[in-house]
Amino acid sequence: MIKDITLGQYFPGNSIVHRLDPRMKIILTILYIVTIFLTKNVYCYIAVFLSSILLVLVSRISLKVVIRGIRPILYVLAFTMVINLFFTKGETLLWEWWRLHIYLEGIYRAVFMALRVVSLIIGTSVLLTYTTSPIVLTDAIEGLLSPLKKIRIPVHDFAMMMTIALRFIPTLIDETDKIMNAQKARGADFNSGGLVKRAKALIPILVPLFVSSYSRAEDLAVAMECRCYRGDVGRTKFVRLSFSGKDFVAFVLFVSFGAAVILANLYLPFGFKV
Amino acid sequence: MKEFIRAEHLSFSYESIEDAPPALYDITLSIKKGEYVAVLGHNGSGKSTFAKLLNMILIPTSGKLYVDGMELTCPDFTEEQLFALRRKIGMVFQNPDNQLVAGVVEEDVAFGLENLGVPYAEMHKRVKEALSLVGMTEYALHAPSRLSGGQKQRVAIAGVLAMLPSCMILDEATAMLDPQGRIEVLETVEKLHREQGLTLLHITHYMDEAARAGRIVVIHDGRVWADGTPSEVFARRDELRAIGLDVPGETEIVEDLRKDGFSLPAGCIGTEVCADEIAKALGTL
Repeated sequence: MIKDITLGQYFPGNSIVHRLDPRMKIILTILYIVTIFLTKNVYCYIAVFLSSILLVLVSRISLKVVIRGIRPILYVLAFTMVINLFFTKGETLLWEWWRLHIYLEGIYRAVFMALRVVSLIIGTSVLLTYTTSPIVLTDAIEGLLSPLKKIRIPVHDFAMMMTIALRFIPTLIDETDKIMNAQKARGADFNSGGLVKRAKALIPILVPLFVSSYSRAEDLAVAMECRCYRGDVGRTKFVRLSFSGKDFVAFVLFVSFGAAVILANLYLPFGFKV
Repeated sequence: MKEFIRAEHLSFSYESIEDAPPALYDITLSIKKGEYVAVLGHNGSGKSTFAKLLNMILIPTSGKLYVDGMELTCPDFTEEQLFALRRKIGMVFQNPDNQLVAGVVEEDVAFGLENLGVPYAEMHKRVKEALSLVGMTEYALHAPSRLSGGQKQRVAIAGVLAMLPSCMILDEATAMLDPQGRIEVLETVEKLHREQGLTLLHITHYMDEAARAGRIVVIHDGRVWADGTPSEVFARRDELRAIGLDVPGETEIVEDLRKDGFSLPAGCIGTEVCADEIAKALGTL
């Protein structure tokens, strides 16, 4: 049961989005987020939303998956929409009751806010989490941050920690499962009682898990030393990332999109701004 | 054959445990290049400690230790020599989960090569070769957590092989595997021993596994208790039993029959050999 939890939400595939250099994908994600937050104009909201749908289509991730990804934030989204709807002050009053007012601007704002959040989630998850395996992502982060090595930030060490953490998550999940079963066999009850009682029931799982993790860590350290590990000294890399034509095309596209949004904010006549 | 490992009056005690008897005491032995040696002993006999001395995870308390002409106990042993040593002696440990570093099989095999600074093209070539030597090529892109215990150990072996070692130490590498996995792992390394002359040191407490080696060193209470061919060692069944080690089942039967007066050779090894010998003995009745 606990095994069903998948790490991240990577969906292997061979689309153009999958094949982009992971470092470029991180850069594109940042560009995309910035673009979304620059959006102030009705056309741009629509364009941004359509672009996120376009990303989904290009990446060949099924829409079902994407919608499932949005579901957890639906409540937050609904809440923000309601707040925006009732508490935005504008000029065109449509409806009023007691202290609640609905202005035309409020409706616009609520809708746009929802579009913004939804585009943000779809865009970033398609660009990064759905199409990039966590392992590749680690390499990409190390690659992007490697200039920081010059000012003695131990980038390699952080990347190694991340690699090991990712590698050991399934192992520790297996182990947790085993310990839970062992405790259940001794009569432990994890599924009843209030919050405090349930939290307390976790202690007999966490303690053995910690103890065994320490002994695993020691074993692993010895095994790494035996394979000549000495940090970042004279190391070469098995995975070599390289930018290719499609990465530059994608970069140019995203930058132009951002620029277009900025221009549209400034010059488009339908100047309804929120 | 050239001598590969030589230990002279080697002793080691763990500092952390006060007044404990030394884990290893006055070990003197020599292992030749290309030999297949099983180091046998029950838990706590010091056999794993011996393995850890060989690639300097632990430093001997006294005595001298040479590996391939290098003196490990020399006081000015440099770091470069240490890495040369660890490249020469590959180690595979007991728990398959605790020795794989990367989240993808081929990247894990490459780990040692990355550390050695092997160039890109060469590294990819060696990783491919190592994976095919252990028969794991088709799993190159899998996550280690999806593999069986035996497969994980074969990946660990590939990781060692990629570094082109001249000796491989299996430190109870089969202890946590199911019978199927144990056979998988042993057959993989034995093939390498036969075909490439890899020196093999198998540390184990399984008698039937030790019987596969060309030579058995029994370590008991930190001392070399016996050293010889499997037949020589297993012929001392009653003494072995006294120190808590049992000879393999089929050898046991032959020894029992011998005791009852049948004319059988001492220290028969292997199911078929034993069966033949028993048949022969019965035929002479």
